Amino acid sequence: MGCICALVGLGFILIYNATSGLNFAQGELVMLAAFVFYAVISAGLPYLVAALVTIATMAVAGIVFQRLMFYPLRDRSFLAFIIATIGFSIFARNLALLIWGPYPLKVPSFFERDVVSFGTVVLAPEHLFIIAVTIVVLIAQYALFFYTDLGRRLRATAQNAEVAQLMGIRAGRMIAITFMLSTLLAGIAGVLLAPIFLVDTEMGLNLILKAFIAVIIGGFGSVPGAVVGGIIVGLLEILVAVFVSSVYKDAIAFGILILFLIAFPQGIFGERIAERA
Amino acid sequence: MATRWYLPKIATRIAMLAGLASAGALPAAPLQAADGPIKIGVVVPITSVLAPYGTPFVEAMNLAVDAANASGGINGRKLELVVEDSQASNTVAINALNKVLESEPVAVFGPALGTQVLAMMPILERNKIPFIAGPSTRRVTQQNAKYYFRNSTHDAVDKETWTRFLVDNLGKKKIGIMHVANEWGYSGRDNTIEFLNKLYGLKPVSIASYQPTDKDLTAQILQMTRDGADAIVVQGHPIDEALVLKQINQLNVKVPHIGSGTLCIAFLRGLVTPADIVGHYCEGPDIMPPYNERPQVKAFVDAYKKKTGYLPDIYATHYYDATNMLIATMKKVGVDRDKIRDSIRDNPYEGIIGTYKADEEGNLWHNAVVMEFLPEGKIKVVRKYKE
Repeated sequence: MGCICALVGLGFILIYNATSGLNFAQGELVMLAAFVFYAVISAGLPYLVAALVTIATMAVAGIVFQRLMFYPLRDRSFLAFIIATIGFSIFARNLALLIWGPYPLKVPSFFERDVVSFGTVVLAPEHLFIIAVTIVVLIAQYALFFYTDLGRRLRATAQNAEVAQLMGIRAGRMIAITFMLSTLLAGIAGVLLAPIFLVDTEMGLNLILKAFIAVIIGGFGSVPGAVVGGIIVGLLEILVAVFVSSVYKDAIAFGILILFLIAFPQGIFGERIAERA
Repeated sequence: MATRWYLPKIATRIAMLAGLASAGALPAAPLQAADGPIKIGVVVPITSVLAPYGTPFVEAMNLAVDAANASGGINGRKLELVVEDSQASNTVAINALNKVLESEPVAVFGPALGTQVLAMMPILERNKIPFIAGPSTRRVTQQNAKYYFRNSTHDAVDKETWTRFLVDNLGKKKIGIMHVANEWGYSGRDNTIEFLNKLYGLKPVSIASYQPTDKDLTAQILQMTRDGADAIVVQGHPIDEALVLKQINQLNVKVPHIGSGTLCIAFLRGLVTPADIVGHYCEGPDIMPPYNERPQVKAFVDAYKKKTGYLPDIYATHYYDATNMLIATMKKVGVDRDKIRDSIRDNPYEGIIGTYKADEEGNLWHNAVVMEFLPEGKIKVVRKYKE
């Protein structure tokens, strides 16, 4: 769960860094990806092809999302974009309801085995797969941003879009690519989540809440912070539930997080906020 | 100019708000025109995460109404369901009810959700409208309501049945309880605790709750094993009960696990596979309809599946029976609400799955079973309420 929080948080932070806007529809984008994955699998496509089709669809959806949600509001206060994304999240839930109905849906697992045992530790193969995919995605993302020309242009746009434009970078296109990367991450999260949790219209709400907290813990605006924060949120929840109380796990976990933020108001990687990715 | 333009609008809105606000306080609404269709109100969740507690009921009720209309209705008058969505909110449920009351229904069907039924009940009592709904929450029928009937089992029957099964049949004494943290979950927890104590002098060794939106329930399951539970009972919603089952399997927890009636729904809706659920149990008011051998139930299952593409669960079947009960009652006593209430209260009704007979609280159904899932998609009833 921590890795999923990290992926959702990462998508959230990419858009924040590029536009200073908070995309509260990131959870619903994951939900839509899970529904698309279900639809593509139900259409009879092989599992891996269905996953790729879903991720590609979400990437394209990112460009559409940017043109419809961000572009018309780009010169307005950042609040306009936040409200628009909240509106989109409501729209997305109702859209899913209209298309796929109110019942939860089941996506089959990619793995034949239910569990993998390491001595006394029992793990589901899906969970190991999520950890592996998250690591690969983070490495790929790091390589893209720091070892490619596109990455340099993306970072330049994130640091200052106007100056980047003066330097010959097409800032609008870079922002569109950032949105595409963000929804691509949502697509990956949706594909990973769909087989382990059932797909339903409410699944995005909880995700964005936890991802938002993860981002704050990690240090708002910090890419590694989003990842570390996500893993901390996931771990804290499960550890509190197992060793303290499952009834009050959310209250205790979030209480600890509040105390943490009082001690470290800028989050773990707060120093790097100014660097923006 | 502006004042002239807005005043009528404002006045209309105030009038509408006043109408809505006072709908609950109105005396009994005048009955429908004698020659128009007979309206039956239905306020259940059609959307939201609680839709499994509403939409299947409407589908089943439509089958009953269509059949009645095809055979001439009530003395030549057609029947019509007036359906409104209560979503997952008491406030929405009340607004939906107020809207339904504008159609002057002879009776209203509510959701299988205790909190919404408790919110709607005072309005329907004031308006003296027969109210039928099937939540299992015990205290729903302890409100001294005169017009309310419960068309399903309540938790005191359900939980006595699974408690007796765990202790008498399986010999388990260290029971762990998992439940969703809402009124439905607490009702299951409290009734199980009560019967463990009352019947056997036992206390549960572990209790864990979770939020309806929680997806990772491994912590709660691990708590059960850490506390030494030798059996686990779960009362939740279809999504979380399906996830509990899957995660119990993944964590290789081998103790007996009984899900509530919701797990039966999750199974019938394909949220868990037959392979996942083998060796587990679920309880409910009666055997799942697709496994019922009665010819009239088989006919209903076939018709329901043809219409919706899904197999009906036992609660949808209860709503089908209750709709037919209301139709039969209207054929007998007409559309007078008090006469309908009195007739349902005083006369047993033979539904497709058995007899509905009101007790002093208005409970119509008095049975519960525990079912075991066997290989190849088969099930076996391993405990009945009255044994």
